[in-house]
Amino acid sequence: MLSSKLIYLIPISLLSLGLFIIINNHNYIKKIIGLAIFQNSVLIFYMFLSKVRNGVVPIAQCTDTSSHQCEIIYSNPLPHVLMLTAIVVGIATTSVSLAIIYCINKNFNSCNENEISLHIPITTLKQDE
Amino acid sequence: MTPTASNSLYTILTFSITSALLYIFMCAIIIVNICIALSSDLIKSILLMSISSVIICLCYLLLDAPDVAMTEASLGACISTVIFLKIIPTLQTSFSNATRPPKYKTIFYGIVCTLLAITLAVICWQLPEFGQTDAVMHQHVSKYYIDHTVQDIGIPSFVASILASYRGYDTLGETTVILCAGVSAILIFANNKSSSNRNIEIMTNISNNPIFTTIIKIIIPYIILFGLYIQVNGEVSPGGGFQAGAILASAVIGYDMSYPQSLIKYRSSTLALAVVAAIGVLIYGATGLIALYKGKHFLNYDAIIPGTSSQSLGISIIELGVGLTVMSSLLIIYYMFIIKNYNDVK
Repeated sequence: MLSSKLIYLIPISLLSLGLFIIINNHNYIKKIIGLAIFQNSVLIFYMFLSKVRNGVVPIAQCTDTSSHQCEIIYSNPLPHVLMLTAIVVGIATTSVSLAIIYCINKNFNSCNENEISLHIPITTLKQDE
Repeated sequence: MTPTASNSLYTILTFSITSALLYIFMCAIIIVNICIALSSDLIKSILLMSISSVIICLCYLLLDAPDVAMTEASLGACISTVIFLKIIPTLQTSFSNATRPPKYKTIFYGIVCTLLAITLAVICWQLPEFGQTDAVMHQHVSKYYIDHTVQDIGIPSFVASILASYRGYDTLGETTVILCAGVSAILIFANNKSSSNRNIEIMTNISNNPIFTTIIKIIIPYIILFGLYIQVNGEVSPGGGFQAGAILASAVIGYDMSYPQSLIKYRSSTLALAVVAAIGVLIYGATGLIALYKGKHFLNYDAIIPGTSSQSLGISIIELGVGLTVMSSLLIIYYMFIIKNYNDVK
């Protein structure tokens, strides 16, 4: 049963790749891309957990409620619901973070972390004067 | 005896084929993401991210989740790529020679991330096997939802019933978050005075491309029809408000990319879209308040009309609200980025 647990290594490697992109790049847009990969890895991990062997798509196939004859195994619908809303909210928040990056670029003429950290003391001095 | 045996053999074979395909797709995703980590060109990494989203969609389909696959296809592969590509020309920095940390730091970060991966792998060893039928998470609340949806709610789609009825509070909160994202995009951009004397390289305008405009003309009606279909049939088939809103928004965005400003004028439409997004959340909340007024719990759809179809009616109404909010908020975000580009170029 080694092979069935081996599949969890894939979201783990995606997660560490996303973290690596976040901390290794100075560019803010690249950091946001890393964050999106990080988010995707978590979504894939939940979807792996929701899969049931021999399960089918979670839509009821027998509308006859009284009889217990149809014993269909469904995949777990709960992670689907949670991840579905998480994708939409994730894109909305990513867009807000891109808007904030746009503002940063307007004020500092750069969206690289190392350049902005050079700029910050100078601009605060200017505002104080 | 023989049909059941062949049936079980068939299911086992299907599961192994599914697992094999999943491994192949997942290896492709990891290769694509390693390319993103190695590339220093931003546009290249954005397009690679779109490719990885498309492959992730296929994985979601294999994992029995057509709803999530639809959402990922319309949002992850389409709209987020467009928004990322729209912000690139407004930024001044040249990305090809973006400074990278020194090599010893990169190696150090790589070692840290590898250690994290090893730690997580050790922890994941205690998880249930992939596809295990009697895992703990399939036993309690999910089992209740699967057993009782047809009797309690009266609709076949478990995902829609959990989303809109059993966990209606969650979805109300998430719809409000999306509205807040749209409004905060307006506020962030409105607060910002445009600075002059900057040279911005505009990407080649896609609206001049005859291939793109011709294809858009042909496929836009079908995209809109599909969006409306899954909006209306969210209870009986995969789909619902979130997917329909995203697909309709992507149809409008596609039309706007080929014929700029022909459908809606940007400045006048943003306020109207914000009002529509707020109306969507209002529809959702008002549906809950009707139940409260009639002496039931908040968001208990049994109180709307007497009879068995009350739950299904309530779910349809709030899916409409969710669809309106998602579509308008995504369009607001897109239009705000466009308006900024337009101002900067002037």
